[in-house]
Amino acid sequence: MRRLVMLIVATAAVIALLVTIRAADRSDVRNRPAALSSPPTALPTLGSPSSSTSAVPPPHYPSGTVVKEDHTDYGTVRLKVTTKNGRIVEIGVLQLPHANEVDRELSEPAARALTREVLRVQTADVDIVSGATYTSQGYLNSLQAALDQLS
Amino acid sequence: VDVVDRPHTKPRQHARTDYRPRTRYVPAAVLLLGGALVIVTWWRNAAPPATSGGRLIDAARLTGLLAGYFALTQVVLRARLGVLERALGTDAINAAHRVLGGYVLALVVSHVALVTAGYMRAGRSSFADQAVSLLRDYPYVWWALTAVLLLLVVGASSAPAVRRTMRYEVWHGIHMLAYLALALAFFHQIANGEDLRHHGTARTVWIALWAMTGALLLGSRLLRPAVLSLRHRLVVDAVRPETGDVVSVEVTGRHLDRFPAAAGQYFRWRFLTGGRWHSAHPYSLSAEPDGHRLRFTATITGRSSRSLPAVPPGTRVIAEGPCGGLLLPSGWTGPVVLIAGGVGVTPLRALFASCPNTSLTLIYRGHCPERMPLRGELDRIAERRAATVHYVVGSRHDPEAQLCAARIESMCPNVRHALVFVCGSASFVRHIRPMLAELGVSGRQVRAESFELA
Repeated sequence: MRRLVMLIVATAAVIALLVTIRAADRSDVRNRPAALSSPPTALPTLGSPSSSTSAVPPPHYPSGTVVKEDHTDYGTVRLKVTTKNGRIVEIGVLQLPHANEVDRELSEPAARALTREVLRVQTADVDIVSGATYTSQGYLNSLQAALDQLS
Repeated sequence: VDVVDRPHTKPRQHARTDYRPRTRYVPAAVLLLGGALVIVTWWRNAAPPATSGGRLIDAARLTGLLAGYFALTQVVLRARLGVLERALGTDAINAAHRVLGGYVLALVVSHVALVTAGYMRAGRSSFADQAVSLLRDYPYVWWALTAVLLLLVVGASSAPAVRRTMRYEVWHGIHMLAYLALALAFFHQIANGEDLRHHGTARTVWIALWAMTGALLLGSRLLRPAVLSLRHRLVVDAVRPETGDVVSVEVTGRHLDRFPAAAGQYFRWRFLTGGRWHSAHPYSLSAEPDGHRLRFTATITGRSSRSLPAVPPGTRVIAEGPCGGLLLPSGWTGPVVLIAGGVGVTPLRALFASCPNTSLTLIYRGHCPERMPLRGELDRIAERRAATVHYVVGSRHDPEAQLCAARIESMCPNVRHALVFVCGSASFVRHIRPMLAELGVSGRQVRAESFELA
């Protein structure tokens, strides 16, 4: 019995330690901490004026195509971003987190909504989609990384 | 003091005390290596967590993987594999099974708690909503929840206080639910597990591990005993009363010279007769296999062994085994000391007749002559083989009838250089071990097994 208790306590300590180390690794990579603290807002919001928070005009992007990915707690988001004539013209969603049906039902519409919104406002500065917080964050992180590389 | 006892004068052939194969550490090493591989898989397969909910889910993934892995090792421990039985012995296997059982249960419960709490936090949902979502939206989670409940029942029934109130057959029946639980739990792992649901090495290896373990279990515990029984046509030849409430059962068959059994081992015997076929009971071989018959000796105490004398000759027998690690290593030529408590004498009786007798001593402790079977045989073997038997008879309150270190040494002065086999009740074995340590007998020289149904 004593051995069992010691084993359980030791395992709990090791797991806590490993998870903390992994999380610390992650926080170095994370480039949009602000997005995490913003609470999920109302639903997708296509075309609604509130979704674009920036009043400044979008930058002029050099032309090119870049594939970027971001890792979320639930999996990877990978985007192919194409710019032409200074504008974002195409965002290909190559990978979304969650392979099972239920999650796909959530993340695919969210990605479509985000794509439409980004193409409209021409920046990565759009609101995350409620109900698909992680997908949104991953989407916007990889988009931002792609735009950063293009610029 | 006998000079033979002094280390610097000990004869050459006695110097070999490392008889206990170091391979007994191999199972432990394999167990830990597997656990480490599970952690590496977990570390590499999914992105690090970004939020507190993510951290909980991360921990949940690891506890789930570890629970699955250690559950498999539990099954392997119980598969009666010859190589494991020989390397570890029954007592060590039982002890490991008990500790790992509690461990798996703890991992499973924390997995459930962490998954629920993690998704609640990540999705900002209430417990009720999250629980419903997990059960409704994720495949096979219902099955897994059923598995958790079954495992909790199995765990509860094995708590010593509960176990004591139950008949062995009832407890054993409940314990079999653990296999059902593992089968149910498997599907949610590969359907939802972040490390397993993507097609890749981890998934392939995981499925292969589970399939192989299942095959091992079925092959070793169902197929092989059935094949052995058919090939050797095992049937009851005779049931003979020994002293008091002890009977010996002789089993015959064909080609028994090729039957895989050695002195010191036991089988789980199943008699194919009305009302008994569903339960198998472990009894030691009480005679060395001679190629013509197998004999085991049992005390008629439990509900099932009470009908043992009534088993008619000719009854078909299925023997599951061989189990147990009371084996003489090949090549041992030094002294051998056998210490028996009560009916624990049975496997030692087989060893007494068959092990090398450079110097062979049997110490046989019992409360009263009626509960000490096989004494006539032991006397005859001792005479034939020029070996020694010491009987220590009396109640546990009789100071003259107790074993102690000094008494063991006076009965076998070279015990320090001997291989020592101990068999009896669990309390008997616990009682004897420190005496041997006191006499300078190293743990690797001792092979002990206790009688308990597990």
